[in-house]
Amino acid sequence: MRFKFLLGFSIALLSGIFNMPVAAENQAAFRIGIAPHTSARVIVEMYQPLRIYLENALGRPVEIVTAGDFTEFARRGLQQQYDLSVTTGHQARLFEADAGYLPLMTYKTDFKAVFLVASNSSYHEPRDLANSTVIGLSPSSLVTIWGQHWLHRNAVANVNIRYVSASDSVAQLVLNGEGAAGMTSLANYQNLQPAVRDRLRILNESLPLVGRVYLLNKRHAAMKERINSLLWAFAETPEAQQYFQKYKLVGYRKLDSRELVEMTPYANEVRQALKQIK
Amino acid sequence: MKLAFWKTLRGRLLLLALLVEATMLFFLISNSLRLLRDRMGEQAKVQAEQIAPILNAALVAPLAQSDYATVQAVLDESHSAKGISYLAVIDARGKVVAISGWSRDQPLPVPDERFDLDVTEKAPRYDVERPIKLSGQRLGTLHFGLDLTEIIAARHDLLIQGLGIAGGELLLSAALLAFLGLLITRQLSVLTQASREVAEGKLTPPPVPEGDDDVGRLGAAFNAMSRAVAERVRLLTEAGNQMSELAEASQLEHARLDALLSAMEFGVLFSDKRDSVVYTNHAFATLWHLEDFTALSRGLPLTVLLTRLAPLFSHGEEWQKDSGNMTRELALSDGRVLMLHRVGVHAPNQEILGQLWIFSDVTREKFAAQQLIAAKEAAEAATQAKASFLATMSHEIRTPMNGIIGMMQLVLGTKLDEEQREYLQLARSSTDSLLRIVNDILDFSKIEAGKMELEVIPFDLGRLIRETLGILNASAASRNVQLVSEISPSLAGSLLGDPTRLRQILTNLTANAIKFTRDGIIKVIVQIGADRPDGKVDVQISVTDSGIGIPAEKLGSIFQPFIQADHSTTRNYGGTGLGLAIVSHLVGLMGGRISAESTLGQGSTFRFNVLLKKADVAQAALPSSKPAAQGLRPLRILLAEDNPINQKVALGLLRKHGHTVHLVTNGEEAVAAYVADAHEFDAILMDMQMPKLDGVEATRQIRACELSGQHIPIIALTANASGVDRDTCLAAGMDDYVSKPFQIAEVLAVLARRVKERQPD
Repeated sequence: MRFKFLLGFSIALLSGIFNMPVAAENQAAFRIGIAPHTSARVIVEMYQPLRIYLENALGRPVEIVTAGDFTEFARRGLQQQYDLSVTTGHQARLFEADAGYLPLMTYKTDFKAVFLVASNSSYHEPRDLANSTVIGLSPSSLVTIWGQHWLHRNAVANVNIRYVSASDSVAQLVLNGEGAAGMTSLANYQNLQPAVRDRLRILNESLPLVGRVYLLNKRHAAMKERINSLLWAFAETPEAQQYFQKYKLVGYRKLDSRELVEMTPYANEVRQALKQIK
Repeated sequence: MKLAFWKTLRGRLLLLALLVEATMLFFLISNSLRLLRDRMGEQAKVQAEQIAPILNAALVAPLAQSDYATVQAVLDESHSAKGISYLAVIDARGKVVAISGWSRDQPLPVPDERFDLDVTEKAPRYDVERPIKLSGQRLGTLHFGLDLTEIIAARHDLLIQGLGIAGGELLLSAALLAFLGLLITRQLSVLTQASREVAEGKLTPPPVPEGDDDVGRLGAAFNAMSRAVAERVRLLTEAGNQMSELAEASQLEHARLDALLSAMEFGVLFSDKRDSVVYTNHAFATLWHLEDFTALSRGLPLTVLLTRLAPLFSHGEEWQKDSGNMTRELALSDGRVLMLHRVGVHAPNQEILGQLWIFSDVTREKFAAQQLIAAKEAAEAATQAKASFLATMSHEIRTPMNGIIGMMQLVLGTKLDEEQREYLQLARSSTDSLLRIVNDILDFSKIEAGKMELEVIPFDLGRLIRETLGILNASAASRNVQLVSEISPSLAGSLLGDPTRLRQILTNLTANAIKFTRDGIIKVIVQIGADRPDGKVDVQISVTDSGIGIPAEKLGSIFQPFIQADHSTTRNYGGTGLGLAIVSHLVGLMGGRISAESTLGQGSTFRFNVLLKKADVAQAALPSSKPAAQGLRPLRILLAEDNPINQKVALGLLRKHGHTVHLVTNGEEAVAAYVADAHEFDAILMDMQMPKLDGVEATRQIRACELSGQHIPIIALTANASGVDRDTCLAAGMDDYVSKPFQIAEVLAVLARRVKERQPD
C-alpha cells in the first residue's frame, strides 16, 4: 500500500511538475463540484483532503464547490461548470448522458436512502405519514426522488413535501416537529451527532442505490487516466483512509457502466425538473 | 515701592498654581486623546477582527455554493449596521461577486496596514481585507471598511470639550487662588508692616490679627515673637551693659597682666592651639635677642619663630618636637642657660587653648650650682683628707703615746725608789691627761669630719655604770665627794649599743661633777623611760652634783665646743672645753638629748637619755665588756709590730705576765712564722700598719693557710679604734682588737677571752 502510494504520489508529482507551465496560483482553479447532499460547510470540510492532494498533484488551485440544492447543482453540472463532479447516481447518469462527463469511480459503501422519524413518534408504518409534512432535500436529490417513489408505492396520501437545502436540517426539522418524517441518505443519518441521531428512528431504508459517483468533465478527457490514477493514489493516503472511515465510505470502487444505466429513470426525473425550472 | 505682580507671593502662588494646573490639564487631555485613539483603535481592530470571522462564517457556505445572492444579502445586511462603510467579496478567481456600499466601477480601497485616526480623507475609514476560508480552502476575500467618522468626531468633541473644561477650570482656579491669595497676603502685608516696624526699632508694634487658620496662627506667633523679642532686647541691653562693665574690667586686668608680664624678667610666650604666637613680653624678646625681629607678632607661626631661634642653641635641640608640658634646660651658644617651663592652657571644659612658655635665664644659678657642686666636692675631698689626716694623726699620736705609757708601765713595774716612783706616777698621770686631751681632740675632729661612728654590741648597762663609777670612786674620794648611784631595777638584761662611748659620756659627766665638787655628793640616777612604739629602751641618766654650779647665762652654751662656764675654768680646773660638746654629739648619735640645770654655788644636774635596743638572748650571751684576765695560762704569742718602741712595750708587758712572745716586724714574717709552725702559737697580736704586708692582708693569708678545724685567735693592735678599722679587722678575719695605747690589762683580758674560747691542742 505504501509503495503504491509513493509510486502514485511520485507520478502525480512528476506529472504536476512537467505539466505545470506556470505557478499554480496563476492557473484557473480545478473545480470539484460536490452535490449538496449536506450543508455546504460540511461538504467543503469533508472534501479538503482530496482538494489538498489534487492541488499538490496537479500543481494548480483546486476548489471544492457545491450548490444551494441538487437542482441548481445539476444545472451547473450540465453547464460544464465542474471539472470533476461528485454527485449521486441519478445526476451522475444525467451528467454522463447530457453533459458528456466521464464516470470514474464510486464509493464502496452502498448508498441508501432512509425515512427518518422521531424516536418517540407514533410513525411506524408508511400509512402513518398520511396527511403529514415530510422534509426532503431538493426535488432533484436522489433521496427525495426515492422517497417520493416510496410514498407513492405505499400509497401514502396527502403528504406535503417540504424541501430544505441541507440534509442536516432535515433531522432538526423532524425533531422540532416541523415534519413528521425526513428523507435523507443513510450516510447522512449516520453522520449526525449522536445526541441527534439517538433521538431519530429509521422508518424505512432503501435498497442500495448508486451513491456518489466521481465524474470527470469531458474537456479533461486527456487527463482521465491521470485523474483516475490520482484518485486511486489518494485512496491509499492516510488522509483518504481517515476520510473513508469518518464518513463510512470504506473506499473507492470501480463503477460498472450498467450501474449508471439503472439510474436512468431517476435521471429523467431530474431532467424534467430542470425543464420545469427553465 | 509696589512690587510687580509676578514678584509678589500672591502672584507667584497664582502663577505657579495655574502653571501646574495647565500642565496637568494638558497631560490629562493629551492622555485622554491618546487613550481614546488607542482604545478606539483597538476597538476598531477588535471590531474588524470580530466582523471578519462572523462574515466569514456567513459567507463560506454561499461562496462554496456560488450562491452570490446570499453573499450579497449578507453584505447588504452587514452594511446596514452602523459603523461599516462598505463590504465586498471577491471569489477565488478574483472576481467581485458581491459588494455593498461601494461602487462596482471603482477599485476597492487598499487595506490599511494599521489603524490610524489621523486620516485626511473626506470619509475616514479603516480598510480591512480578510480571506474567506473554510478548512484551509480559500473561497474568496472579504473587503470592508469601518467608518471612523464617529470616532474622529468623538475625538474632536473630546478635545474641544476637554479644552473648554480645562480653560474653565483654569479660570475658576485663577479666580479662587487670586481670592485666596488676597486673603492670605492681606494678612501677610499686615505682618510685613509690623515686621518693618520691629526692624526700625519699634519693638512693640500693634498686635496683628490672630485666628484659628494658618495665617491667624502666624499672626499669633508673630505677636508672641514680638513680645519675646522685646523681652530679649531688654535682657540683651542689660547683658550688654554688664558686658561693657566686664569689658572694662577685663581691659583693666589685661593692662595689669600686660604690665606684669612686661615687668617680669621671665620671657613669656603664649601660643594658641594652632601653634601660632599670641603674645610675647619684652623679656622674651630680650632673652632671645629678638628686639629687631619685626615679624614677632600675633599670629606668627611657632615654626618660624623656632627657626629664628635655632642658631642660638649650642647644639641641635630636639625638644621642639616634644608635646605636652615640659621643663627643660636650654644651652645657648653664647654660654647662657635658659630654663623652659611649658604648660598647657586649658579652658574650664578642659579644651586645650594653647601653651604658655616661660623662659628664665638660669645662667647664674647654674653657675652657682656648679660652684656649689665644686665646693661640695672640695669639701668632701677636704673631709676625706681630714679623715685620712685624723686616721694618720690618730695613729701617729697614739703610737708614741703607746710607747710612752707602755714604757712607764714597764718602769713602774721595776724596782724604784719613792722619788722615782713619784716622778713616774706624775709623768704617768700627765701622760694619761695628755692621752685624754688627745682623745678629745681626735674625737672632736671625728665629729667635725662626720666620721664619729658608734658600735652596736650587747652590753650590760648596769654593770657598765657600776664599773665606771667604781673607777671614779678613788678620784671622788680624794675630793671628799660621795659618789652615789641609783639604778632602776627594771634595767635588767642586755642592751645593744656602744658601751665604750656610753662609758665615755658617763665618765665625762661624772668626772666633771667630781672636778667641780668638793666635800659634797654626786648622785647618778639611771631610770627607764616610758615604753616606746619602736621597741627601744629610753635610758634616762642624770648626774647631780653639789658643786660650784654654772652661771645661768652660760647654761645655753656649755655644750658648744671650746666653751667653758668661765674663762677661769681652764686655768683653775683645766680641760679643753670639748668634753661636753663631745658628750652632746654622742648623746645625739644615740638618739637622745642632753640638758643641764644648775644653781650657782649649789650644784648642777646633767640629764641625758639614750635610745637603746634590747639585745636578744643570743646577743645577750656575748660578753659586754672585757673581763679581767683571771687565771690565764702562759701563752705562746706571735707579735707582729714594726715600731721598735711598741715592740719593747709589748714584749716587756707580755713577758712580765709570763707569756712567751715571738716577734716579727711585718706581715710577711708573721705569715711565714705561722706557716712554719701553726701549732707553736696560741694567739697572734697583729699591728695594723706595717711595711711590706699590713696586718689585714697578713690575717687574710693566715686564715687561708689554716686547715679545717684550725683557728688561731688574731687580735689587732690598732691606733685607729674607729668603726671603719674595727669592721676592717673583723672582716679580714681578726677576732678582736685593742686600741693603742693599750693597757696591758685590756690586752690580757682580750687574750683570756679569745684563747679560752680556743680549744687547747
